[in-house]
Amino acid sequence: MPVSCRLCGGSAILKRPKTGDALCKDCFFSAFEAEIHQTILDAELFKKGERVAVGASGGKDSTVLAYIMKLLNERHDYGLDIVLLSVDEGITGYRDDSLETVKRNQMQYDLPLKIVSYEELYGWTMDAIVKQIGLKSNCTFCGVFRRQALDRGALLVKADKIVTGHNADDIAETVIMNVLRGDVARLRRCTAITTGADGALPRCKPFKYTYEKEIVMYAYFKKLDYFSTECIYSPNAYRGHARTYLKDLEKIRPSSIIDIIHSGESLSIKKDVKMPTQGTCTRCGYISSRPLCKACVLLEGLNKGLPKLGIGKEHKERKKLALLQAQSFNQTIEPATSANVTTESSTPSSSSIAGANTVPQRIDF
Amino acid sequence: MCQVDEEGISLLEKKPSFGASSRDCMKCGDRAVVIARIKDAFCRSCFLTYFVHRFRATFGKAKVIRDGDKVLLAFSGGQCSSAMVSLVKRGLDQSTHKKLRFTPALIYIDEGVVTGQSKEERATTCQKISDIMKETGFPWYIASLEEALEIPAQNSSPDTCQAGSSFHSNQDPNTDELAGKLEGLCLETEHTQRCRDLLASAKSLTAKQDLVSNLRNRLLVHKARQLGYHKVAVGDSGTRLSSGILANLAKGRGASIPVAMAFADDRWSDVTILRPMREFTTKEIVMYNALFNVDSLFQPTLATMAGDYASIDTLTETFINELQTNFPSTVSTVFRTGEKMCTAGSDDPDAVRRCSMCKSALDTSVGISSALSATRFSLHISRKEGSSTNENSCKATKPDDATCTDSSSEQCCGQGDGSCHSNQMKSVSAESLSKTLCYGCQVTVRDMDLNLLPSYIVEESAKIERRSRMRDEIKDFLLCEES
Repeated sequence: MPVSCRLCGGSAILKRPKTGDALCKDCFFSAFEAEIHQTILDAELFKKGERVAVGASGGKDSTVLAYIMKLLNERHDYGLDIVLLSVDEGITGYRDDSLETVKRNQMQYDLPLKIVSYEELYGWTMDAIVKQIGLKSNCTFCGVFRRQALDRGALLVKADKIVTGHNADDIAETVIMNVLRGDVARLRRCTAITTGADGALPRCKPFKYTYEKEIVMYAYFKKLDYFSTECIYSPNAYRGHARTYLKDLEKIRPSSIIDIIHSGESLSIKKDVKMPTQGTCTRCGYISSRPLCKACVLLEGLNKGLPKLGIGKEHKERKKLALLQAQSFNQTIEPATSANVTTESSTPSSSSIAGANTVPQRIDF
Repeated sequence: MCQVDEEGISLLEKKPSFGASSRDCMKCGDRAVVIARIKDAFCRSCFLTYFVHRFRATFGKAKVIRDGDKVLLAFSGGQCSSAMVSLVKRGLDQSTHKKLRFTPALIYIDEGVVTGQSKEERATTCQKISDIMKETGFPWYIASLEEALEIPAQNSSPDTCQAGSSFHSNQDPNTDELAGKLEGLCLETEHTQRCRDLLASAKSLTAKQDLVSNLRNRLLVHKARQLGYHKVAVGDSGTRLSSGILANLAKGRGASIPVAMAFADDRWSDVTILRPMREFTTKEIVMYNALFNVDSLFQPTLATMAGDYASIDTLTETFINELQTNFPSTVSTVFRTGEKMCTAGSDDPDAVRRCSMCKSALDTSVGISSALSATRFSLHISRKEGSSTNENSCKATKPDDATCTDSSSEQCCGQGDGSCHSNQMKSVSAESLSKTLCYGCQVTVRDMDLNLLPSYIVEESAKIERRSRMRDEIKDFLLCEES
């Protein structure tokens, strides 16, 4: 049963999940690439001469992203300086393997690569964190730390922008998650193609309108080398519900994913709803809606042997923090002038933390 | 409208193992019989007080109803609307203070055509429903869903109060000649077959359900207008509205979430839809009905026995219900999230351009970097010849531009045998239709035969088209930019 390509009439090899059209390999490639290019143009993601850090995990999205960024940069003369940026969370048997993929990609695509590790930034690997916290809530640490780690790494390589491989499925899933969690502030900004333009480094998602399935198809037919293993630490259970729901929706109506993004884009929040105001962390200078950013709270919890400090109810967290601070004031009277000092004195490797603390200070000016 | 929630009933029976009997009422200390909300144990009478108070408070908070207003209660025979009618009756009966201050009437819309019931089956149902409605002592009316196809396009000044031909009412509930009347009523008109064809042309259950609810809402509003009511109360529970929020999100109807869940839905200028049951979960409603012997009549709908994966609505309902059992605050969280949303630029409700199908504000004038234009570009690029032309043509892909919408017309005309063009009815082009439909309705219509669409949609969209052409002609002489 030969199906002919809708565009060139040749023999089709696939049905596009996004539009349902049968296409041959080459027509799919050109359509896929043209769409990403169009997204980049429409949203004016880049300016000539910018240095762009591609968040590379070795997974399918970022592998295709790195490949296509290089391709489009050359084809359409974006004039971008592309750098690969990886975060080493320190997960044995998972991240070390996927980093090998990134290193191979670096050779294949001939792009510079920078790896920042949780260990050097925070003094903790995920392996060590999981030993403390167990398999529950460990994704909170990983997620919060990674966000900052990418920013810090991008600053180290002097990048102007970070691009990540978040695809349409990821964004649709986040919209659903934020509705389920009632997180109105995030709901409002999660569909933006570029975020963080005002605070730290802007991040953008060229795959915002690209179906995950098409990314896999592209990687498959281009024979791109990527790493596809689930993280060995338990996947986030609640997000799993949203993911399953989304996949089921896609089965019922393939356009659902884009439909959800459209919904998210056309939502607006009542003006009288209280929104968190964005400020900076008093300790590390990173953007934060609270006096202390989440990473600092989590880190402090880890360093003080109270890993649950940053997890759970807000008021409980504050109470505990106050209690902790009171204790630390009592215990160490001499260096207890600022919270910053207490962190340094109690970390196992103060040199690496001092290094980490100098980085975000650059965000300040 | 509301289905029997079997889960709610089984929970009620499971109560002993649940531990409610061992708990005391949190109000009066008597033995508790139900657990409302998440963990509030109540005895029978305190539950009633709580339930009735909440119902009245929902009305009170909204301040929409004035003394002596006439309110049409949409009664489907299901759990939620039965509870609503019972609560209204209670509120009016009460000799105590804080009486409800409006004049209610009931309306039942027979949807037998949707599930393919025979004339006799439908007549039996109507008979049963009319018996229940008679008991309330309120004036009541019955209409059939296919009458929605006769509705003329909405006039800007809705003073068309001619009585519908197949429309039957009984102002005096004591007259007992209903059976005869019901026999000759609604069922089996020329529109019945048209309605069947329309439903059959919808390729997905999701589109079918959307269409049915659209027809139902239109008919409710239309009937209310004819009968001189300006308010229609529907029985949607909080659980249903929450899953509606998520389903609307999934159907690309994000922009209409605020009106779809508001207490007062004002998308029709002259008739307001009220949702007085929105503060209750379906479980609470089922408990109330069980404890206070409120009768309801189960009726099959499109989704009955269709399975969880049959449509976006059924999937979402299952999803929300499953989450709710594991995370009891799911419904209320989603509900509260929905309450914080508003329609963009809703300062002046009259100035908003509205979808000719669902009447919510049009959400299709979006920027160049948007899901809508990205989708259009995708369709364009994987359906049109040559990738060399995409540079210039995509620049022209402005949201309201028609270049890329021809894909849907291809879909429509491709399936028949060209009958689209030979149809004697005022046929509508997919292109002009899509200009007057919101994103979500465009998705729905994509699954249907455009020529069978109800005339209220087609005519209205044609009218909007004519108006915009008129506007184009005179635009050079207009002094201010008005929509």
